Amino acid sequence: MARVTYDYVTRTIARTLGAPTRGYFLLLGSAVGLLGVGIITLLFLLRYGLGLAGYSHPVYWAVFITCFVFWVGIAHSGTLISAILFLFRSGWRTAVYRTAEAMTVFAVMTAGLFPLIHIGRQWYFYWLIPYPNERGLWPNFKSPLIWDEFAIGTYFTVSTVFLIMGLIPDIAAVRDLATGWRKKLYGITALGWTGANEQWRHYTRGYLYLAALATPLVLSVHSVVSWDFAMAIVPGWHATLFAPYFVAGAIYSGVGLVITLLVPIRRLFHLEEIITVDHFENLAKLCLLTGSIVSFSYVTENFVAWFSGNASERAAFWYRAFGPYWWASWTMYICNGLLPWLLWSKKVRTNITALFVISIFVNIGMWFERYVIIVVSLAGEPYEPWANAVYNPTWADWGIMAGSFGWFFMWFLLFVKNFPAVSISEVKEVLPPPKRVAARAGARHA
Amino acid sequence: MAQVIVSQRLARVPAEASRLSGLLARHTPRAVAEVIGIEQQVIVRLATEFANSKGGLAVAGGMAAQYPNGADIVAAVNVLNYVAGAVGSLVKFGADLAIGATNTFADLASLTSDMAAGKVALLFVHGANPAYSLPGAFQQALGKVGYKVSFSSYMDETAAACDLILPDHHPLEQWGDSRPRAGVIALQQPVVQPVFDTRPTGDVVLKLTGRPGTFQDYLQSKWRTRQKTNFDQYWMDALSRGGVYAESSSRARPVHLAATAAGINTAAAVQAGGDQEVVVFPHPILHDGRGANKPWLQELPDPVSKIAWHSWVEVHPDTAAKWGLSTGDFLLLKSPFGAQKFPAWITRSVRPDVLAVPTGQGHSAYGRYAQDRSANAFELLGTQVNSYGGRTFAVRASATKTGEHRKIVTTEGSPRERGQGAVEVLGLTRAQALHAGDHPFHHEETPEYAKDAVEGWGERQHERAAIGNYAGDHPRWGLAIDLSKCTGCAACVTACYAENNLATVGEQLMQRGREMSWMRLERYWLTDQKGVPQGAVNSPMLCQQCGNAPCEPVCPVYAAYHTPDGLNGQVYNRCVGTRYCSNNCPYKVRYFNWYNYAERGGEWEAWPEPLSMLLNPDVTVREKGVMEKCTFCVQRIRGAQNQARLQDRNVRDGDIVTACQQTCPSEAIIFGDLNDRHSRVYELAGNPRGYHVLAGLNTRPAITYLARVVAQETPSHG
Amino acid sequence: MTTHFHVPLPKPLHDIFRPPPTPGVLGVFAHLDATLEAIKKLRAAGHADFTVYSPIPRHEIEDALGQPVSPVRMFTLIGGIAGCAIGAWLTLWMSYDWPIAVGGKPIGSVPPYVVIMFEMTVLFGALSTILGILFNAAFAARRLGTIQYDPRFTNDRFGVFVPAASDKAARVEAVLREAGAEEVRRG
Repeated sequence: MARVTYDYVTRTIARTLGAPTRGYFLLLGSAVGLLGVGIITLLFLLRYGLGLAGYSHPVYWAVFITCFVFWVGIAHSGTLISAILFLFRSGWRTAVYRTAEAMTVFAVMTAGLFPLIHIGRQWYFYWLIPYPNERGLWPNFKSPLIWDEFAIGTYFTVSTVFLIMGLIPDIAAVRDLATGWRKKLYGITALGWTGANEQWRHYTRGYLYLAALATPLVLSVHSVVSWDFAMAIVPGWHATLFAPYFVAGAIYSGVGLVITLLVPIRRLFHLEEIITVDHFENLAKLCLLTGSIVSFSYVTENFVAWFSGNASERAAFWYRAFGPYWWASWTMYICNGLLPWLLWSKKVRTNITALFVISIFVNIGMWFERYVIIVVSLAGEPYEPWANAVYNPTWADWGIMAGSFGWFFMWFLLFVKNFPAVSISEVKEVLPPPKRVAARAGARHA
Repeated sequence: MAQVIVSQRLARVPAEASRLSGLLARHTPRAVAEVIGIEQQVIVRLATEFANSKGGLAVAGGMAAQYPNGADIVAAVNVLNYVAGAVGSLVKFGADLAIGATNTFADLASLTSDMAAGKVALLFVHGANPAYSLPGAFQQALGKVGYKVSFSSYMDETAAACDLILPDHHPLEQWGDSRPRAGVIALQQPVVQPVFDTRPTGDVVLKLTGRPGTFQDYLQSKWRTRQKTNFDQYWMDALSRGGVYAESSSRARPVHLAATAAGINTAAAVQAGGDQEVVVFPHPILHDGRGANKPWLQELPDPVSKIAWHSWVEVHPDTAAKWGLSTGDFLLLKSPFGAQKFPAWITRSVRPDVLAVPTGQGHSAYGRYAQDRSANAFELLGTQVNSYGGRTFAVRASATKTGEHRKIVTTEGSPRERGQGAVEVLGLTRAQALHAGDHPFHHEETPEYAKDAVEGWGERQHERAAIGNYAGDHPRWGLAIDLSKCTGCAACVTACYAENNLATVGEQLMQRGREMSWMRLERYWLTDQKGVPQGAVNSPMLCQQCGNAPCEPVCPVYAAYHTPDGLNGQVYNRCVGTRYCSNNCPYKVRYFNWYNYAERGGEWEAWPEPLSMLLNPDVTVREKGVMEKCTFCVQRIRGAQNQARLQDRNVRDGDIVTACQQTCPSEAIIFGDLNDRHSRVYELAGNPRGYHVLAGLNTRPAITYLARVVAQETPSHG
Repeated sequence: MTTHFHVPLPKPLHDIFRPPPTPGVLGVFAHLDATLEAIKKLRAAGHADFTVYSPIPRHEIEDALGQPVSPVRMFTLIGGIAGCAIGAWLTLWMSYDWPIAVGGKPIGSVPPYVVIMFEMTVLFGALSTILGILFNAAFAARRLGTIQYDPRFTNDRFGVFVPAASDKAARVEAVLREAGAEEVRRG
């Protein structure tokens, strides 16, 4: 068993940036292929109109917004792991937070595509941005969609900046091990980092403040996204529960995707010594915590709907469970409400395969949660009895969704092969530093 | 009912009624209740109400008369009127209605047999499509005619079979007159230059007979015979008013009960054929098929079934349960004369032992909207003439499931209102007891304990919004819709299509619920405890122009905003299509352009040539990606305001008439300024029968609905 | 020796941006405590402008050096406050510049604007922090480009570079070796 030293960490992680294998190109090619499907679908939508998707009065938001909330939600757990756990001085986060933070940035990028796709006149998207124009028009800041724009824009900027900040010492480490043109490239992107005390001094302060600024974003951005729904009067949307409900669900699905991404990264890059079973167990505990909050939210939602005595609320929740979309609702309830309870068992928490499978179902369940909240609430006769509909998605809906997965995985795969997917410097920070005393003690034992 | 009235002396029965005693004795409520499936006490109650009401009238004809024993049915109804003392006062015979002078179905049947025998050398067909409505018989007979000429403007089935087509002008392009009853002569003049290469049939006939001049000259010369002096003034008056209107000069003919009255045959009509009684009824919109080539009419849902673009067969749920049938399953109906298959619509609005099929669809020619669509109910009927010379529209047929299924195209949501405040109904006694200032529906509005808070908050918001354009006095446009007057005919829906350039989306898109109708007619059943519909209430639902519109704050670009004069504005140019507004609308009256319906040659083109001529130039045609909804015909509002400014006066109540108001035959819709205390709409908005839909949501709509008054309140409207 | 990638520059710029290397002594340490000892000794000997390289930030090194708190926090604070103010100004000014009544709400409605203000606070705070880091690091950058460096410093070695003229160099070398330097280089 190799002792995990600083050198081991640097070399093991730097080795992940070596020549890509055929399998990698296959994966990347598939991602780009899916993206191509998405682009072609988008071209059709732009040319012919949103009628190609499955919308039906009164279901005016459906799969596209589901995907939007899905991707934005996933983004939040990355920042929770990298920023909030940093403030809590948690040590285990160091091996996983880089992957999580990268996932965040790319998930936000993916989510940011959807406002451009789902609006009816996509070419006028920029009217939502407050820019001075000759007509004197400004956007409506009372609309939750504008809050979305600011929140997600801020989140994207801050996450990207945070990611790049964290990368700098690592890129310097890779630069110092690289040769040839790659050395030149990493040299430029390392921005002259040498690890001098002056640099660390400002860097650590800045990193701390960035983490502190990113922390409220985790809680606020998905709250703002949830208010897209909570600010509407639709029964099933109009609940004050939505902000914590959505934030918990977001972290739940994000942690799920982190696990889904880390299991193959760990295996394929041979990082078993660095990302250990303990890391997965801690992620699983996070999953369990947030999953329990989500389960509790389901109970609360249904209880309050019944307790309120409001006929429309009661009808909406009854329709969710027993209407034509009962299969989506029960997938949601089981994957998000019951599945996390498996994680109470230590055996399950420490079994990597089990965690991988569970993490996939976590995201299936969370996708369906958004689908149920959006589509089923709208379809189920919200107030007007003559406004019910049966909605079913078309190839256009699935095409764009596939494209979003392709876009995300393309960027993630490119990142993983060009930048260290595990933070070199931070993993070293939680290792005991090399000391002469220890060496002497070790020498004595040896 | 007549038996009850006579035996209980509920009305002033005429003396001669004694001749009916034998007949009536056979029809006591007890004897009749089983046969017709209505309880005895209901019959007695109806008889009592009928006799006691000041204007009770029993109306026969139409559907009632289309059985083989139709004449007997009408006679029985007249007996009821007679014993209630209505004949001579309410029911008058006379007045020389024009319809009495038309030929009968018996005449048409004899023409058909003449044609089949080869006795007809030259046939002119004008304004009729008998090859469609008399399939089989007429079609075959047509083959034996020497020379066939059609004057049809459209390539319908008859025209397709004719040797020569001389298309007539459209009625808007030509001269004509008609006499619906004695005293009234309607005068028709062209309002549009002929669009296509057509000739008025009148001109053609005159030319054929060698007479000089056009039909216009001919018409005018006929009118000169009526008014010899000062003709020009008379003519101009008639033209400007659309004709001459006078009371009928003929007096009501005195009518006595015939000695043979007791001999009315009240036995059920017996027909040969299959085991199901199939009634073919005229589609209220497509009628005898003439409306099928007009997309507005195809897209307009049938007032009762709310089905559009195809035919259906109405099946009672009990019958459907027996056959294992669900809505959309095809039934093949086979009568002795023909067979057609129709998708089933399962409804309680038909008797369990009857199947009903509408006419209108199933054309084999007649243009892209009509051709090869659904099935032709006329195929099931024969050429039997009934006892008064009319056509029998009921037939016995066998019904078998074909195993096919289709998703029916319907705009019906949930027909049960579930007490949500979408529709309100008042019993007659309660309605009569209302005084001004009563609020029978207050429980739907803001509850008392919240009233002050909500009102106060509302006022403060409106105060703070009084800057910029909002400062100053403005009208507040509003509507009042009287549900007691609304018959559900849906003319308002088509009027809106015409006025506001609404796209017809076609059958496929209507299945996905993407119809563009800004106004929809909602039909709720009034049911008894057992859920059996006793009647229906129709409620037009359109944008309520809410004072606290939920759709407005959520639009990120201010495309939905509140105008200073109280309209919920929708700015097409600004809309980017996020569709949040429609999600937030509780009435679901906002509609999205999913495709570019105006695109030339596009797959979903709504106005292919020459239909683009029916677009209203005062209103934008929306492109894809844009939300739209009722605007209270804002183009008419602004037009009237401009007109008033030019004439240096205020807009008067009645200056602005919305398209739906203009078209409504029962004047159920009234538009006006709610801030004008002298306007009709203000008065109606204060009517105690008035309520707001979904008032508990505090949307403050500008539309006041006046509750429907029914004879007896049912346990649930829903 | 430096391992930075150098873009070839014309002569006058070269003099500004690529100043000549600083003469001094570089000590490479394999252990943290050795490094700390060296720092203590150097400070005791009166050196104040030496540079310590480490692969990771260690609070022991920071404490030993006695550095003042980084001024980056000022940037964050000012950025955050500016962001909040800009958010408030943006939303309120734009609402009144084009006053539109929606849903009976007031023209300038603060509760929804708080969301925007909050987000702008975070955004401007974060961007200012970055600016602050770059701004402050830029002061050191020039000097850092001239001193000696070893690529192992980003891997697992600590380093101390003491600028010294050739006559003082020997003494510095002795101090470093005494503290436990694995390797000492002059240049």
